[in-house]
Amino acid sequence: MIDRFNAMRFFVSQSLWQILPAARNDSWIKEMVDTPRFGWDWEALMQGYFDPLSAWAAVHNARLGPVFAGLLIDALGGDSQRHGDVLAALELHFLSAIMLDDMRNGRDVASSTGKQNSIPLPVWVTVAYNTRQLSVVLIARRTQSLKAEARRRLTHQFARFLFQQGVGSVLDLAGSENAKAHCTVEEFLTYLSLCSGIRSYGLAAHVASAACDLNIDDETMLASVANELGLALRLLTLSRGEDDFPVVECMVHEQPIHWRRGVMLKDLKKAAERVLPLALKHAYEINDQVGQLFSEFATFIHAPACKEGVA
Amino acid sequence: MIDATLYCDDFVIDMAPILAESYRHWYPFCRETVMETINRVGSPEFLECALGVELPSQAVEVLRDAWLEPYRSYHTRSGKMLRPFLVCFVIEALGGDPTKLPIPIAIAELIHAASLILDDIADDSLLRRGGSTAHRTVGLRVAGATASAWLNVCFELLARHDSVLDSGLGSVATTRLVEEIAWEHWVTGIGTTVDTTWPWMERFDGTAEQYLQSVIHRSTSYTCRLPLKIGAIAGGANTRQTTQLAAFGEELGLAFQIVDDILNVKPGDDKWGKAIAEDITQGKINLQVLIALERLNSGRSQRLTEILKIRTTDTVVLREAIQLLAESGAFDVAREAALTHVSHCKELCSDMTFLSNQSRDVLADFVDYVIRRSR
Repeated sequence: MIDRFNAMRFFVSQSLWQILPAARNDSWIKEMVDTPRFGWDWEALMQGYFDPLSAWAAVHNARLGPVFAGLLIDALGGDSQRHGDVLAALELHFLSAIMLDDMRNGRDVASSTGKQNSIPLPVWVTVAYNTRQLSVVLIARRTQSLKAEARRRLTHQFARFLFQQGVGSVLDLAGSENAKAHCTVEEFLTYLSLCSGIRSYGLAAHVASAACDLNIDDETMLASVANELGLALRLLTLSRGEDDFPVVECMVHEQPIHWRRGVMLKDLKKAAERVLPLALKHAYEINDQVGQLFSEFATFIHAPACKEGVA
Repeated sequence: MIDATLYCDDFVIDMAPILAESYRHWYPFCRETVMETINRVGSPEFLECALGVELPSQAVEVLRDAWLEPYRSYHTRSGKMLRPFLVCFVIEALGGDPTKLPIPIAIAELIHAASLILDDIADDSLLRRGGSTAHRTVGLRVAGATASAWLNVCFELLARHDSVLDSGLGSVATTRLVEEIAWEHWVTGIGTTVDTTWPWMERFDGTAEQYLQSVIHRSTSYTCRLPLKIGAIAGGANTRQTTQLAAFGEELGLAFQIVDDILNVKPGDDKWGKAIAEDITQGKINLQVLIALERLNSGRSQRLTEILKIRTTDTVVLREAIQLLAESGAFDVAREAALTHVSHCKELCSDMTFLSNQSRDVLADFVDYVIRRSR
């Protein structure tokens, strides 16, 4: 798995760098925005958007979501190498999500991108906003590898995901501040299932479905099972008392979960032990290759044994 | 039922009679449609369907208090409903029935109000429409996520085809709308990049052209271009007609923003609803500032630059900056620039032969209103 993971990660990174302008690029603007009427201040665009985004993408380089999507495309019998733009769009979505998470959770966003150590909040918010909206437009405009109907559905799916992600974040943040009572484990699983980090697996499945031109029913099933896998993997991480975890030489940043008063780590471990086998069973029901991928991916990401403790 | 006290439309005095009549006709429908859509989106049934989970009662309460009500309050305070009005107007002008297309009409205002929350966060504004801003009520993090969800709820609404929230659009029009809204969301951010980067990098050497380019893909979008596109697509306009209406919206948006920049420091009446000269406090480098920096002598230009850099709320200093802008003649020059775009609007309007003369007259009057408005 490590070789496949790294090869896909390299491919996604290459695709990402091909998509993002490294310097003034008028044809890029013409394609993704339009022909300028008056002329852009490229210095400002580079300083205020492309440079911070590129620096962020260089530091946060696990590429977990698109790697999973790419491997899933191959497991479904497709050719991931034809879909670099789609995978790069998915990565932009993840990059913006962790940017917003960092801002929401008070981490030192600016310093985590090295040179860009003095970017004020309004600029960072704009970078994150632009990046997530760009991911939708890239799917709509730059994914000729997809069939028209698949591209249409995926564009809509990416856009709807932004709504779901926003609601999930409000629920988590406001819930942790205003909840009047402790939540049960089952309620916690509901909250957890609304968080972007988990649903990202579902979005990756939608990407793979579009790339392989699956019908709606198969796509819905695949996304549902991928979300189950995401939930199980997140429960495993949380049951170890962690938010982030290492993969190969990178740290994968997960959205910290705030609303979990009264939920014990041992309960999370039990829940993970219940959800993971279900996710794998459902994946094998799709087909053996998908089941095998889910199984290998889960083992690769979360092999370490869980520790018990109190949240 | 709509609270009658919300219908405070005294600003209609700035409108020509034919426009005011059309506006007054559609205003109640627009407000009811927007409020009903917000209430439906905020219902547990809608959320559970959109999110694919059954929400615990505590979660419903949290979303009501932190997500629905702060956003809803932006609509219940006031709001001119100009964007849904534009959508109604275009649909009707194209021969359609706006009352059968509530979702596209509501979307124009939902997006606009969400963008106001984001603007308020970016500028750390205290007031909006005379009340506390969302981030000052629920905190920056929650307000940001709230705005993001409402900004993108249009995609969820356009995906729904149930009896209550059916958009009334066919699949082709829905796809066009999704792609146009996604594009407008994206380009609005690119324009905002210039708006946020210039004060950060203290870029007082930007040009008027660069400023106008950023406006084309910032406020112009949600203010005029997007509502006109929504109306065109929902009303069944062909690609050429949609492009013409969008071009008109872009010109109108340019004029609108230039006037808005002037009103920000020189409101026409006491109902502006925002802190006075907030743009100066935020160090915004807009058209009138660029003009003033070019026209003032070096000492006064230097002083204006200093004031913009210190992000002051001191009213004495803010008045000094406004005085410098006035002395330089920047307001007059900026207003002249706005009038140029108004003139372009009128030309584009006369080319829209697919509209009736009366519809073109209303559009032309709307252009005049943008220039004449006092808030």
